[in-house]
Amino acid sequence: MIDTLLMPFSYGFMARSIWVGGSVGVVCALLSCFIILKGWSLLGDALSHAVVPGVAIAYWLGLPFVLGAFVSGLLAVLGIGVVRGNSALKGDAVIGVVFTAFFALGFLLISLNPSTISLTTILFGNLLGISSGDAWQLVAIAGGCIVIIALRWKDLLLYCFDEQHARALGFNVRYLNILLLAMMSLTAVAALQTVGAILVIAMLITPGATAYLLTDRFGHMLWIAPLVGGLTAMTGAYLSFFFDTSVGGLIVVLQTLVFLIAFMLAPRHGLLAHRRRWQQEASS
Amino acid sequence: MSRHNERPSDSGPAIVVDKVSVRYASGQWALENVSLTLESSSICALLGINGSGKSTLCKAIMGFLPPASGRVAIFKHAVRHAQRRNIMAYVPQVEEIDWDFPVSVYDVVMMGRQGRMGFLRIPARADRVAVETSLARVGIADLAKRQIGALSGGQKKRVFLARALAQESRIMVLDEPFTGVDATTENAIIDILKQLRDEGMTILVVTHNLSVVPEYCDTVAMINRNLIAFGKTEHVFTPANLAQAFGGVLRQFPLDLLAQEREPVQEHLP
Repeated sequence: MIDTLLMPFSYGFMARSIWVGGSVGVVCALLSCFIILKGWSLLGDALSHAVVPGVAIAYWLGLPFVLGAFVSGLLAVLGIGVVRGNSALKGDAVIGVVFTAFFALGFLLISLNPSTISLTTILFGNLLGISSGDAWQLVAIAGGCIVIIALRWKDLLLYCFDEQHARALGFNVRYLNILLLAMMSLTAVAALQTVGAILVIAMLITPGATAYLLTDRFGHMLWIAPLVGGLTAMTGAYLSFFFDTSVGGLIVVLQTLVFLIAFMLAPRHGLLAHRRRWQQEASS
Repeated sequence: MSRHNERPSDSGPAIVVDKVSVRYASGQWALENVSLTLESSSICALLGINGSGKSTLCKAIMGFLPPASGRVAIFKHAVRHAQRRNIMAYVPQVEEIDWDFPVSVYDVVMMGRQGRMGFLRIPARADRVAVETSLARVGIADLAKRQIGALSGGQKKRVFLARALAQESRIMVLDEPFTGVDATTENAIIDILKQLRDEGMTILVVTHNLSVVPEYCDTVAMINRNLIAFGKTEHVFTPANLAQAFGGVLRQFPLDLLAQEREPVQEHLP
């Protein structure tokens, strides 16, 4: 029995995917705390799709895919900014136009040159088949972002909560804005490798949303979310060994399960707590 | 980048708004050619109908909106410079804040200190003392641990006033601090503003509560995209100017009563 449970760890690729998945889960979850509070969920979705052409070109030219993803993510954000600033269109429409354009371009590039990277990898991720070189890039991204968040989370929190106050105190909000977007682009590409472009957004929202239901303190969210994100990603990768399922699908289903439990049982913001409060108010 | 609250050696006016115009993204003018000079140790009321550009003027002064033309000077320096020296505090309208945000009253007031903290933004003893003093001053020390959404309208205003106090700035801009608050809170805020003025602070306050304006404001500015009137309260706060600023919409404040109320203002002075 124990032998069976420990079996995944005896395979190098399994151990690697558990660690890589876990670190990507942690960093996505940390960012998700800022994304859901800033109201950037749609932008996160956009970025996770907009990095695809960059990844395709980078693979094509033999450059680190991180570089390609980063450039293409920033170009998309820039594009969104330009169209928004020069039209009366609503923000979500602009984001929709720009990110589907980038995604489509990515598809086109991949289909032109299918030998370098497959469409399935982009769409559904390939955590189990990740090369050790790519694995190191992902761990480097995750580590870098975790360090930046550890050092700068209070400024990012101030920026998300009250941008005007941040300006009044002389903080460079443009720099904080770019810092957050840059980290989102980088983690989007990391998550793309693990769960695929379609499910990246779950990694960038669900853990933060779960933590938000469980606490009223941002400091606590920064512990709960990565714990949820990291453990679910590791468990998903581990379980996929036995069930031979899509790793990305498994990870996101696990995250959703944890979210649902929080949604029902959270001490103050859960469904049952609300129900109890209504009954108390009705009876008093 | 220095973030200290240096006292500039030069005295002179605290805020100079010089022929400032601001344009909306749609191309319409929000403000046109507005000029004001606010001296240190004074309170100025900013009056006007909804949509007259009061908030826009506040934001132009704070440096949140770039003027299309004209300039704002804070103690003779550019706004950017004043921001870095931590001398400008802003109390926003209630609608501008996400009240579901997972932060406590204490956290928000501590954000007033963030420009003074070191690289890791770890509060020092002086920061904690400033936060506790500010909370006590506005009378919400007992609410420090509350999540900000679980507060009444008056308490919400007090939190952001406390944050501005904790900042220990020299200029404070308040956008409608009396909207939706009870009389107790209104009086408490007015008392604090008067104390701050006596301590040397320059205060600009957007308000719709006209009846108390002569009680605590040294100067009054009325705008309706353009500047209608600006000057000492006793010269500017007149039925004629109010009628011009508010047109037909001024119902809750009988203009003819105002003329009689002008005299008793003296009684408030020591």
